[in-house]
Amino acid sequence: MGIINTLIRPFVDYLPENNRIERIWKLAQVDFKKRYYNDRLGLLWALIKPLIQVTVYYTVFATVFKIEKENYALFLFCGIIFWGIFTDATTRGIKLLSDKKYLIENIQFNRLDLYYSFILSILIGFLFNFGAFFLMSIFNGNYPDYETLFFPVVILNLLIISMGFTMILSCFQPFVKDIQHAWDMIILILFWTSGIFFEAQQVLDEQPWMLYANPFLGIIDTVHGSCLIDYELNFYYLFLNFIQSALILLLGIWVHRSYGYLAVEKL
Amino acid sequence: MQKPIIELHNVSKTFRIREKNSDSIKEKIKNLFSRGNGLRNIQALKNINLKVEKGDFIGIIGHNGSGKSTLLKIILGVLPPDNGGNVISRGRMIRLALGMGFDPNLTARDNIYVNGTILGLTFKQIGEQFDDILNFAELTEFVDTPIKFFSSGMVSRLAFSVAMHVDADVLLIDEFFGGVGDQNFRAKSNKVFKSAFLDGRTIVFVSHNLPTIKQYCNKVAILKEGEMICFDETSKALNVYSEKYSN
Repeated sequence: MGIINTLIRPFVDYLPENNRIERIWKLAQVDFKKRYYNDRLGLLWALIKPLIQVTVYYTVFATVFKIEKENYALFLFCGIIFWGIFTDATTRGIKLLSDKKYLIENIQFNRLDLYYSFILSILIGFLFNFGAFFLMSIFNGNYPDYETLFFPVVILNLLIISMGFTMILSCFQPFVKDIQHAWDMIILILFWTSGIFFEAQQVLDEQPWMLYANPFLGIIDTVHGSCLIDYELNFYYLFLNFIQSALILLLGIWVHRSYGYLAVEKL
Repeated sequence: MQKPIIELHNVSKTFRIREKNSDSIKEKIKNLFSRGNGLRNIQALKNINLKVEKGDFIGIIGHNGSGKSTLLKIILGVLPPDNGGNVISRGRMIRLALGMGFDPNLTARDNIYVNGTILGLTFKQIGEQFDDILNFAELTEFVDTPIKFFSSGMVSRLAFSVAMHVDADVLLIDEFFGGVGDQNFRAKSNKVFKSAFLDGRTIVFVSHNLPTIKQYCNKVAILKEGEMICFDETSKALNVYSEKYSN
C-alpha cells in the first residue's frame, strides 16, 4: 500500500477536506490491502495472473491454432486485463454485503459508499496491470494516438456496468446462496464470446444482434480501439455501451433500493 | 423547542421465515410453483411509539426474544420497519455490541480509520483523536496488529474507546457495557461513561443488567413479546418490570 499511497498522496492532499471522499478512499484502500497484502508476493499477484493467462492463451491460439494477427499478444493482454475488471468486480462483489456485514449492522451510513469504494479498489488493482500493458505496448511500438483520448470513456463504461452487476448480484446473494456458481458459468460463457480472443467484428458481421445481447462485445472492441494503434475505435459502439452500462447501473440502483434492506435482513 | 433525536411512529417488524432452508436456485424455482408453502410470519415488534430527546439515557429491558436487539437495528436503520411505520433519526449513530464494526483482518489502525470516516470524521479529525483512542484502550503497542489476534477483551476495549472518542450523537449499546476489560479499565470506562452522559450524549441501552440500568438511565422501556408495555421514568418502569416479572 506504500507505493499506492506515495503515488496518490499528492492528489489526495489537494482534495478539499471531505468526509465522504475520504471514507470511500479509506474503504477502497483497506479492501485493496486485504486482497494483496496478506501474502508474501502481495501486489505481484495482480501482475502475475494476467501475464500467465496471456502466455497460456497466446501459446494455444498463436502456436497451436496458428492465428496470424499482428501484435496478437498485445491484443490478448489488453482484452484480458480489461475483462479482469468485470470478473474481479462481480465475482468478489457478489459477497460484498456479507463481507461488510460488520459495518452495515453497527454503523449508520450510506451503503452506496460500499459499492463506490469497492469499484475504486478494483480500479487501483487494474492500474497495476495497465502499467505493465503500457510498458509492453511501448516496447512493441504501439504508441498512444488520438483514439487513446477516449480511453477514460471506455473504462468508465466498464466500471459503470461492473458496478451495476455487482449491486444486483450482491443484493440477491443472501437469498440465493449458490448464485456464485451460476455466475461463474455466465462469466465463463461471456469470457469466450466477448471478443477477447478474436475481433468482435468477425461475430458482428454475421450476427449483428449480438452487439445488443452481449454488451461486452462492444466494450472489449472499444477497449481494443482505444488502446491498440492498428485497431479502429468504433464510436457507435462506445455510445451504445454507455447507454447499456447506464441502464444496468440504473437497474442495480433500483435493485439495491428495493431489495438491499431485505438482503441485509437475511445476512 | 428541540426536536427529539429519535422518533418511532407505529413501528412494527415482521420477519418472514421459511420453515425449510430455501437459499438455493433449485429451491427458489420449486417455491415459484408452491407459493406460500412453508412461510411463517414472526412479528418481532408490534406498533412501537418512542421519542428519545437529546441527552436522554434510555434503557430497554425485556426477556430474551422480546425484540430489544431488533428495535436497536430499526433505530440504526439496518432493518426497515413494516409498512406504515416511520423512524426519524437526527444524528450520527453507532451500535456498540461485541465485535462491533471491526474487520478482524484489518489492524487496529485501519479499523479506527474506517469506523471514524464512516461516522463522519475526516482523516484530520481522526488523526487528532488517534492517540487518545489507543491510549484509552491501552492498545498502543498493538496499533498495527490485525484485530483477529486480539483477545475479546482487547476488541471490546477498542470498540468502547472508538465509540467514546468519535463523537457519535447517539450510542446504541447492545448488552455491551459493564463487562468490558479488567477492573482498572472498567473503572476508567465508568468514569468516561458518566462524563459522556453528563455531556449530553444520547444513549439507548439494551441490557438485562438492572443495577446498571438503574444507575444510569433516566427512562426505561419494557418490551414483552414485541410490544412496549411501559415507557416511563426509571424507578416507575423498574417497578412495573418487577411486578410483571416477579413470578
